[in-house]
Amino acid sequence: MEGSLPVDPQSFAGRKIIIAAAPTVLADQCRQNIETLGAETVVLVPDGETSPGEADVRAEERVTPWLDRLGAELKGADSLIFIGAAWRGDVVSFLENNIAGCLFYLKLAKRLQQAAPFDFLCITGDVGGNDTKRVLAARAADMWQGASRQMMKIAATECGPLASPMVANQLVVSGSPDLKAVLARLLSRPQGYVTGTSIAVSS
Amino acid sequence: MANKFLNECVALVTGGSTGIGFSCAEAIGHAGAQVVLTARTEADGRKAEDALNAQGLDVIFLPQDVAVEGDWARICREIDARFGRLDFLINNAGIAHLSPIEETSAETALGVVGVNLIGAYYGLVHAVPAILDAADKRAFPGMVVNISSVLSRIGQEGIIGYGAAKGGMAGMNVAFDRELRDQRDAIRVMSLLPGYTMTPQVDKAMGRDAPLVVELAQKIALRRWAEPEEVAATLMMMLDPDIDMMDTEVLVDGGFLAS
Repeated sequence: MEGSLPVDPQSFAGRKIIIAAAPTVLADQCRQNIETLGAETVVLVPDGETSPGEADVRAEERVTPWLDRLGAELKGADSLIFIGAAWRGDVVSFLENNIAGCLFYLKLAKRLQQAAPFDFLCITGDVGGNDTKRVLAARAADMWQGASRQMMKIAATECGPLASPMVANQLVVSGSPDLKAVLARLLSRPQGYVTGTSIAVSS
Repeated sequence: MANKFLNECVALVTGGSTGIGFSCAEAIGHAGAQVVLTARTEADGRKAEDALNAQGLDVIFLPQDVAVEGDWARICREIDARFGRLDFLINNAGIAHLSPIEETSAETALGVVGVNLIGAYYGLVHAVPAILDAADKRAFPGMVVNISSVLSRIGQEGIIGYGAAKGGMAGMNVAFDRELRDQRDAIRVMSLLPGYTMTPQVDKAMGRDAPLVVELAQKIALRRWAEPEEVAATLMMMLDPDIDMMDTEVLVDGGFLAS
């Protein structure tokens, strides 16, 4: 409902918001929602071309060049939404890829936030999986949700006191709800007071 | 007064050579159980084994790196071959690393996650079937107790890998509690959340009277750090078959989170 948007539409005009995610329905929905709010989006897919691949973020000698490059290219961005790696059937690699990926983008965010207040939002959703893998997918989803919730609390603790604060929050999505209103509130300007928290939404 | 309420049971305690793990192994042993304690370092494991057996307990040491799934398979096979049952797993093994986000490499963070979370996950994957198999040998549920931390609930600077691991452990607890809910008479999966605990490692690294230790104590309702034996005593409350706990997480933090 366009008329019920809770924030000033000008709050998103002229802003640049990064979305770091494997290509999924959720990632595409976020992109569309942000663009409808009036901000420019930059989508970083872990393909080793536009952004580091899953192996890159684990190798420290590759991390710094990527941070330098993206830090320069994305200057002016004031928010980063991390959705992370796709589920491929293995709990351990899913967790490791997402934790390493999230750590990389937190480092990027800490570089970008030096100029102005910055928002980091980690979105976790249903992991999916067919019948034979459904139990494993549910485990992976619960474990990643717990891990990322704590990573956001730690990021909030480290980055709240900075001269140009970074807030860090988790958004847990079940089903396919419309995220426009919650993204509008969480990422609005002036920067809000919500940090280190977890919010769950569902359809 | 030694109440041997775990007589004939077999308990596996990872990271049992020192600190909270050692105290848990000790307490479980005094309750009458056969204890299998594991550690990465053979010398530390043997020393703990000798110390506990000198108290008249039944303890054996097996070397294990919890982050290696093959070690879990080997340990569970050996326990089955020697004792024919497994009743309790205490997922205690853990490491920590302190550095801010920008100074924490993925390798370091994943190393901490590998021991604290993935290792505990492998433990559940391999030990749960064994604990279920022994259900008819017990008059009460077997249990997996994940030794977590208050840092699974609060943020703190400098612990991005540890925090991710303990948060993931909380999620793991939710998943396995859901999966095993229909088998509560046979097995429970729970977490124990210690607060600041004065283990030998902490004492050696910082000292009981270090300014930071004293400062942190002021944030605790009881104004002091826990002793490892107190964490173990809370574990024994969880293992007590006369106490049918509905919680999946138990805090032993001196009121730190409450205050």
